Amino acid sequence: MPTRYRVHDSNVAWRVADDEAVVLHTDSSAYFGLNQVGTLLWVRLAEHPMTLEQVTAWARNSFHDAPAGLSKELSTFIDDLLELNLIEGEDSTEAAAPRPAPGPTAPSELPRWDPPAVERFGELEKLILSGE
Amino acid sequence: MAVGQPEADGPRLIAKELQLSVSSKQRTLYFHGESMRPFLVEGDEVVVEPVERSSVRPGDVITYRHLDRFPTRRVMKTTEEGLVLWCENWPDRTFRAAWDDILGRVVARRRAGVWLAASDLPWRIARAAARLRWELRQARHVMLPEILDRARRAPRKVLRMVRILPPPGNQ
Repeated sequence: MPTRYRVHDSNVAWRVADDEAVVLHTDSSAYFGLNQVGTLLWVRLAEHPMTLEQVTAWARNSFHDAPAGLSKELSTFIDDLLELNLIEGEDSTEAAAPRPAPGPTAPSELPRWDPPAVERFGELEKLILSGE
Repeated sequence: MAVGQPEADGPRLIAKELQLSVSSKQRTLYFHGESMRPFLVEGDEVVVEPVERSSVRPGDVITYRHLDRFPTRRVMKTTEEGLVLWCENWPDRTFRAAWDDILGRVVARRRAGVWLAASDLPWRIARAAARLRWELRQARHVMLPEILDRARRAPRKVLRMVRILPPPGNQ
């Protein structure tokens, strides 16, 4: 049964700055950075839960310089995000209505292919609001 | 990124703003400092919620970005450019924040385990009292000197009108 992956909305807050996403895990206060390709993928997962096959198809149709080992690189990235509890998997039959994967992204919006990656930047201490 | 902010601090600052945007009664933020005493004191836990520009009102307590910090102050005036802010315990100073830097509005406070929400009577009283103090200070420090100045000049004006004193250019 294919698994569909979605951004773990109740656990994360995120924002894209300079084409790279910063993702905060709200329970642990750990924060992460995604590279450009990882960010493109993340944004699509946030908009539209996808199976690994759909992610691979989207990447293959969008990146003309995608390598032969694309599927493995994407699978590793998805596994990393799952391990960090930033995304969650759901049985695709649980979804109310199956939706097609998004079409390819316009080449002008794309960086060169780089294996998508997530990096742990650190952990925030308790946030302090300063009156001074 | 704020001017003068090291590049490496960019993601950290973004993460802090994200943390601020998801504060709740389960994930509170801490207030630090004396400037908002007695309404907010060192160690108070607060909840900040994102706020629309159109719903910001005088009396609200607002958090905004300033370099890598998050000052939290009371709104006294809204203008086209942003907000004029004030702290109850620093009555001589006013601050300005641009609309783009406004991150949220304080909607609840916990002190010694007791929650106070923006809709509670003590909160509304504190809000009204702060606005009244501000208006009185404005009247005393801005309007009163102007009135006194006009009053001081009025007799000379009258004497000129009845031609007892020469016009200002002839003095």
